[in-house]
Amino acid sequence: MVKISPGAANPAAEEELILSGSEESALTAPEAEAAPVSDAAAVRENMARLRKIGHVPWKKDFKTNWVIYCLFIPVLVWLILFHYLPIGFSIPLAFKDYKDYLGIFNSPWNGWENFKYLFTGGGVGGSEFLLALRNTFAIGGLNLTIGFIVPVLFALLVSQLRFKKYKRVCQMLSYLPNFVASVVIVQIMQNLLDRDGALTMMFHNLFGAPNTNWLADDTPAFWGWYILFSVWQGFGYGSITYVSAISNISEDLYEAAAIDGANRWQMMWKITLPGIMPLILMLWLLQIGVVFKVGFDRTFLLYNASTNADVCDTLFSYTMRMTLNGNLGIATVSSLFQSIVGTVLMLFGNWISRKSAGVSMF
Amino acid sequence: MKETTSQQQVQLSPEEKLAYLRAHPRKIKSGMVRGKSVGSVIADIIIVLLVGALALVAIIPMWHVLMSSFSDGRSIFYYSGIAFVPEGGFTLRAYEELFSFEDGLIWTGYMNTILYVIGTLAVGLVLNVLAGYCLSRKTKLGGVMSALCVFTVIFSAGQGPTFYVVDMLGLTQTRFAVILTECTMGMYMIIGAMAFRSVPEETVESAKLEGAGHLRIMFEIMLPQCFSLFMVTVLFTFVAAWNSFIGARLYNAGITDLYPLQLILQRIKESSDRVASQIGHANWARYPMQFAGVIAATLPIMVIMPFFQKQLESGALGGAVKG
Repeated sequence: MVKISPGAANPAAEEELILSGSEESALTAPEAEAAPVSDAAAVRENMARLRKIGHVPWKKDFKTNWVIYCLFIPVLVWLILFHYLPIGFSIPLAFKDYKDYLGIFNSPWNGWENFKYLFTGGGVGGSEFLLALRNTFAIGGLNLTIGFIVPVLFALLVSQLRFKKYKRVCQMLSYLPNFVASVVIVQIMQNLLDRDGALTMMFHNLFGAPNTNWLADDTPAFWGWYILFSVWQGFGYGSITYVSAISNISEDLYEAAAIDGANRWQMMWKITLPGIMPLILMLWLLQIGVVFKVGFDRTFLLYNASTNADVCDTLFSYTMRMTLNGNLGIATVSSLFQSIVGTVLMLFGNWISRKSAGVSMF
Repeated sequence: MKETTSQQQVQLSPEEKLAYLRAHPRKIKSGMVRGKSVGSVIADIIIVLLVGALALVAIIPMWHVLMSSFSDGRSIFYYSGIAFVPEGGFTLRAYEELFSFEDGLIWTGYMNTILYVIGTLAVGLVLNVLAGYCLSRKTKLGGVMSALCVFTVIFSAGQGPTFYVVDMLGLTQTRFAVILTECTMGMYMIIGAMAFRSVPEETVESAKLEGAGHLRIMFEIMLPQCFSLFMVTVLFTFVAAWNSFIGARLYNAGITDLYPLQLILQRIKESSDRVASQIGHANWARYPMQFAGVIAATLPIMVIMPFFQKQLESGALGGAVKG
């Protein structure tokens, strides 16, 4: 993912390189030319002069660009209304005992009560929030391991195919589940994993697994089935990037290896995989931040307070339920926590990705 | 590095090897580069079968639902395998039940979903184009505008506070709540900026020299050139809007008239499952109604997607981060 450089007011001196591997901002050509490197003071003087040349006073900027600023107003309004206002309100909401008949201004402050409630075992089954936290990490973790490897493996297999038409058809079929709605996936899951559903029977006959409704199961087996369907949904579409990257690996390398007598497995291990390893690493690191924010729709739909609540609840579904109950104080703390965890992980993954592969999101 | 015949072990770099080969073409037997040993052919066959199997696995659940929707209610209820053909004979009873369910509730679903899709696409596209244009131009406030958009990608408040604001704005229980909250995101604005930046500066400069103002530049000159890049965003927004249910569940709960297709599907399933638990009741045609519902809700997307395979793939590559 490329680094986005915002339109800078001082393009000559301040524009950053795209895909920069280093931290320093580049001295562009004019600056390098104009700076006689003999003397530090002379360099500073030249840079100041260039800054003045490139420097656009406010009046002039408004004169040329006022239309742009006006065009941005709808965007600004939307951003404020639906992103920054909620962030702003999350502070009071988190520290109040929100009652919707009182509204936000009249609801009483309750300090850290909401936080205490969540982190020290509030909720029906005790520790509802903490369980949701655990489940979020469990499912997210599975997504980052199994859910991540399968698309890569599929891409490796697909890239071995010679017949273009067959390859295209197989790929297209594999993408389709990606566009199926969560509600539909849940209905399919309920149909196939019911006590006498097709998948249940298959597992019963093959592995002697019990004949139960797996979605009402309160054990980690639930996560296994959940991930199975996550993988089913995402392996085809997730493999596209890798298939494309593999096709970009130079043919010469394979020819040279073939002369050496390498068979295809050795080629795959020594050429293909190392070839796409930077991409895999980068996507994985970026996925860390995202995976804890998305993909949990189905946990909300599958949640059943009396059967699978202990394994099915996730931060997302917990927040949804609290919001729907009108418990906005609690819902806000939960939302905030979800966002903060996701953000920290995203920044962390991004930082490591920049350090190792030199590419980052920003 | 010594040059030797191919019978001896040598250490040549890949470039040297290729140079050697090109200099000595007669020494290469045809087929040597892709060694066609028996093992290799077997591996080829296995891979072809494996990929085919995986592609089938991707599609089988939907096929199962399709065939179940054409099945006889009683037969499919008692059948506990994958339905490769309609069970108990081909019938359209499930679809009859579906379209007459609660006086054609499904048509309400269709209408709402279509309205949500159109609204989301329209508002989203306007915002993305405007934001993209503004972010792509060099202005003094450009950095600020960019930061405002990028920050929303990193951090967002979540459902709780957003619900509060939507409620405060009086948008709950209207369609606008869903449309406005789901129409776009910071990422799409960044993609819009990238799209506009892909238009070469010279085009813009020459337009400016001819006296064109910003609006004209944006609409008549830049947009036509980079619109294909917006297509990807349009496609993803379309799919997301078609499949959306969270927004309506949060903001329009209980107002069936505003329910999109996905929420109607849930009601259909509930009713359909009740048949299953009332064994004596014998309105069996109600049971496969849930399958018919899934097909009715998903078929449009399934049919449209193959036509956009190219855009989808480029979207996957560019939006690899989105997750």
